[in-house]
Amino acid sequence: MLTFTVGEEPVTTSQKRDADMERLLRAVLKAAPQGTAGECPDADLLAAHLEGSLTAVEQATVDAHIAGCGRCQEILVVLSQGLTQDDEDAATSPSGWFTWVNRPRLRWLVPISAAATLAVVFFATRPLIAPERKGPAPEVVQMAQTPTQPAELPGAGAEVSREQSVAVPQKNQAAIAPERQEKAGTQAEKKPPSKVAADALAGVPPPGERERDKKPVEPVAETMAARVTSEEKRTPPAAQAAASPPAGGQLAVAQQAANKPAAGDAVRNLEAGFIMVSAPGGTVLWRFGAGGRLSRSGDSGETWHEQTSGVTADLLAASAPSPATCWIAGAAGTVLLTTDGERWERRQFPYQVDLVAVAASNARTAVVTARDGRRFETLDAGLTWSPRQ
Amino acid sequence: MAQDMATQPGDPPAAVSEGLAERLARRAEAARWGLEADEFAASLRRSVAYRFSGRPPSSAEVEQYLESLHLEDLALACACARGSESAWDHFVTAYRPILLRIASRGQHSDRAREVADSIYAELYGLDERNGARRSLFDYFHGRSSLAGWLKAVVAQRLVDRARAARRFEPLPEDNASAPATPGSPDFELDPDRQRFLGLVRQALAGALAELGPRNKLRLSLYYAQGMKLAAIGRVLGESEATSSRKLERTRSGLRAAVEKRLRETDRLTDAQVDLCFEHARTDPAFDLARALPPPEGG
Repeated sequence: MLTFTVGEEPVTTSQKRDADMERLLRAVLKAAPQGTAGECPDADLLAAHLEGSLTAVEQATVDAHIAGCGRCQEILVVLSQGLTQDDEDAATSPSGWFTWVNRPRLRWLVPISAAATLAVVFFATRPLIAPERKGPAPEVVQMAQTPTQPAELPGAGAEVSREQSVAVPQKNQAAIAPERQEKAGTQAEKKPPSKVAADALAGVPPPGERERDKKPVEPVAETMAARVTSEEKRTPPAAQAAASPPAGGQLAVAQQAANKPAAGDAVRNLEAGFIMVSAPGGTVLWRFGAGGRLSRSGDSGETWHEQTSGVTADLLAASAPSPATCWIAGAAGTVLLTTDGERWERRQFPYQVDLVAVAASNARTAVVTARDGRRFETLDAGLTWSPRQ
Repeated sequence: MAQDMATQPGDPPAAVSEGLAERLARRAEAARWGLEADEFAASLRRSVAYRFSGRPPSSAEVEQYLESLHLEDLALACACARGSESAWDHFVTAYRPILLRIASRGQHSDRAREVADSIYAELYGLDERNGARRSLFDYFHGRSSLAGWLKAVVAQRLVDRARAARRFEPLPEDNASAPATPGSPDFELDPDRQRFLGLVRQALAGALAELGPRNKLRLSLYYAQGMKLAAIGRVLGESEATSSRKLERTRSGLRAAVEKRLRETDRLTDAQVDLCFEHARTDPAFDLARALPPPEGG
């Protein structure tokens, strides 16, 4: 293979042509689409395109138009700035707590809050416990430290570490475009304060946090299953029955049965209760459970009407990215999707494994987690699935 | 795009059965805004006519389409268009922050506030046609969420204003793209240079034309608009890593297609292919405007 030398690094013909192609495309495409290509999609169609609620044919038509239309591309640029803000919209909504936690720019707050909570618990309980315990001081310390032992009881710290990773796409450095690869090395060390602030606003985590971002991602539903399990261990049944169902950002799980099952996995939880998911806004809810039971509420849980899931498998997790769109995952590779809030369609899943978590961003894109930890992603509304690292 | 325009009042109503309209009105909680069933049914018919303009849909298609709409948002928009006070109160409380938020960010922040304020007048419907007040809400058909639609409306207005302003800006003096002449110092003595440039243009234009719409869109957003991968991912509903991976794949595919054409169709050697890339890279006037077909309808 021919090699060239630029500076001290040898450059192969292939790399040189790649670089040439990069420059050509930049020059060519920057010059090309300044005008409009026919009649532009109206605001309703454009917004539906962004929300992923168009049919495949419509989406392809709109894609083809925008690819040749400078006006529509500029509109997308403006709207893409708005989409960043949408994360904050969800966070400030009453039901957006978990989404709020998952916001990249605030993820650093989670471990700090968890540590602060543990510290408060430690100092609040120590005076109460110490007088009762007349033993030596080390026992007091030992009791106060109990909540921090994740192996026995997945407490706040364990939940926090999972939630940190929820909204962080795994960054395959090899897959990141040259633009990012070139900059990656120098940006971390030499950042002026203004750049650091800008990064914080843009959701770029500080360098120390990036290492954590590389940890495997676990979807929200799985986090919530762990949370419910640990809550059950700590909370008396009476208190649980009295507690109001939590509003969910992506997913809210509520055990509403008085005869709560013993703490265990999600399947056992279903025997006595159900799992509930809330769409953004909190008005539309679904609850589902063992045997494919499924119902919907359009009034924040005041009234419910049964829906036909079409399956008899246990339904274990859900994610509702919009009031009309909801994904439900369940036992034996069950994946259900509704895009109109009413009718459910089963999506084929290649493996007969229990799916214990699902995280969806729209009607096309979802990631499910199997009981054995494997994760699978679909980008075409569940028609095809590919393993995800 | 035939379905893009809002249906005009004179358009024939699409078939929406009374039972279906009533059921959907209940689901949309249309009564919450004092909206009569026939008023909501009219807005459903308008939405159907908008979606299926040019062909009569089957009743199953109509039902499936209507079931997929953001019905609560459609009912609110319909009530606002008819001047319902309670609907307007709710709209202002729930959606004004969205308008103001758009107005307060981005490079268009100075114009955005003005646009956001002016949209209220359009939403109320100061414009009258044939004696009837025409509200901007009438152009909302429930395919997207009301919030998404509002953002898109503001974004369209901002971009249109910016593009209109650009028309009056003087063109920059650009001598770089002037073609070299035999008398100029840049004149290329290589007799094959122009031929090679033409071949690369044709090969690249052909390869771009073969791309699927989504790949072409991703490429345009990245190279033409300079959008970051994360932003592209957001608008296309995919992760940043996926955007990056697909962009890389598209670029590699384009390169392979160009090289293949140069070798197999144009019968160039490896060295000549190298020269093609080099000429194209160093040519200041290289662009595909001449080679690419004009946009449809444009």
